[in-house]
Amino acid sequence: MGTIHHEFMSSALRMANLAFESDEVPVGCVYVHDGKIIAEGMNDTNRSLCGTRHAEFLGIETILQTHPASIFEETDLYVTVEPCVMCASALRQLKIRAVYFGCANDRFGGCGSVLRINSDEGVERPYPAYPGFYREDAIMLLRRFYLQENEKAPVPKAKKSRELKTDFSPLDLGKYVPRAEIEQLYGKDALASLEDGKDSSEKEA
Amino acid sequence: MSPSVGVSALDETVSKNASETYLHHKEPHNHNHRRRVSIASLKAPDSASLFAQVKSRHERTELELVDVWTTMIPAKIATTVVSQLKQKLPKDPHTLMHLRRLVKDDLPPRDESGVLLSLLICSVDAVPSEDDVRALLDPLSELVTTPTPDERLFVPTIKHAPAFAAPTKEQSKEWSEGTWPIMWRGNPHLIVSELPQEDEEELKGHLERLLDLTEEAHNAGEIPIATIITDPETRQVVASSIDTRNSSRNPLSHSVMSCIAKVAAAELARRNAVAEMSNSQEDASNQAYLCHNLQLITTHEPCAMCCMAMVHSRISRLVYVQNMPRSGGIDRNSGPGYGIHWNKHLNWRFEAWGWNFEDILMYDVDENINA
Ligand SMILES: [Zn+2]
Ligand SMILES: [Zn+2]
Repeated sequence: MGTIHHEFMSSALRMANLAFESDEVPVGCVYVHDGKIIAEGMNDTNRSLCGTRHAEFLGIETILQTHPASIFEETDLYVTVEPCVMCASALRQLKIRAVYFGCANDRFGGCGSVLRINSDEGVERPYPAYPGFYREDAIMLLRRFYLQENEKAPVPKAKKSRELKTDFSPLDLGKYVPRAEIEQLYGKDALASLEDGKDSSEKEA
Repeated sequence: MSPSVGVSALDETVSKNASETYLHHKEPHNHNHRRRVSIASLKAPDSASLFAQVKSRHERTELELVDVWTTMIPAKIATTVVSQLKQKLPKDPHTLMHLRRLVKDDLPPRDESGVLLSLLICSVDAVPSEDDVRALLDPLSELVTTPTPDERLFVPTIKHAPAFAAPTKEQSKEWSEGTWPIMWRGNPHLIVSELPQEDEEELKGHLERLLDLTEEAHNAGEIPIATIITDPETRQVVASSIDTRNSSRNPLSHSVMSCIAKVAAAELARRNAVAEMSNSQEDASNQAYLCHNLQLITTHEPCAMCCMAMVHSRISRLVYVQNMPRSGGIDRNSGPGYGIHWNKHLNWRFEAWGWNFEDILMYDVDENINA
């Protein structure tokens, strides 16, 4: 697959790699307006000691330095991991046009995994959130990061948590995207495989 | 609670430019400005509480347990032991505020040490190794002067404790049976459905400060929403913020977000100063959990973004004055009823308390604002 969405997601992955190299949970993002990347972001919670410095927020601040907030109405976000509840709400308040993400965030996800902040009834308009772009790369980056963390831990964890898993459970597209939109964005095969697997349990970010 | 004075909600532009609604109405007719009341003199009738706990729809939760280190100590030296221990314990990844620190043991004392008490030391996650716990306890055991002290004294034992405060009084009793007992700070008989008197008195003072801040915000042309973060142990204010989305042109500059960021910035500065002086790297294990055990007090029910920011930073208790039925992320009747403070799918929970008495805020905030 080599859609325009994959192209932008590979830029987001590059930011996630940068986060990894900076000892941050590897999540990266880019904001795209008029077909061009206008801002990048990577996780910054460890360096700043601030649990709210997520990749999405760093990108938002960059954009607001030179643009009015109304630019988000025509801006898309590409982020390697599903936005958490906090970021999902922030993006809705900014009236983001659409969000494309890599893997689901089963612990904090606000675009379908834990809550549906993007599509629930609310003050601002809802936005669509599409999962699965370079999903496996996003997951592997997170796995490598947590593996490294476990090795650094003063009390070594069980052996099982010291092995790099390389298998992936199937993504349940239907949990995130209305059926009508699946074929258009993901193709006929995606709809077919939706009938098979129902599990998307990656424990990440 | 108070009716929103302002533009009709039917108007599309209200929700589109919600943050400007307040500005439009500030200058020309200032009819939403009420007289300031003295909170200190407020008394709820019939000893009713000034604050009511805000429940989420997930509230009937199952008991979750956390392993804790405990030991037995003589009651006579309990205060000294607790205060010395506190100085040496690392930051705990679990909130233990809802648990009793000392419990009277059932067994009669076997020697001249007098009454024995069980002491809650910390969670096993905070200090995983038994040897490290012994190292913490050994110097304290020297406080015992009796010639033949009970051999159970200062021996670390693992027990199970409820991981969170119970949502109801009945559950609290239920949960305390067979586990380490839950208590409500300051008053062991009063569990969760009411705040202890001294906390209520303390909060009154913080609310006065919040009113000062909303006045400040109003005068600066900002939305009159304000937040302070306090340390319940010391009862001191750690940080305070007003909403600055108008002047910053950033719709996300909510007072809760700014206040949390201030706590982090202060801690970062402190660590940098320490590192510079001692030329050493401090332990960085609790980095992202800075507001752990802190209390956040704010004028309006926070939006989902701010609620989740509190989860990420491990706030222990939220107190707010005014419900935001359209945009709030706490009350089961606000918005889609997220109840983010008590959602079993999220990895952190905190108590939420709402103001339960006559209107005290001086300015109305449009119902479409995300506080
Ligand atoms: Zn986030
Ligand atoms: Zn907010």
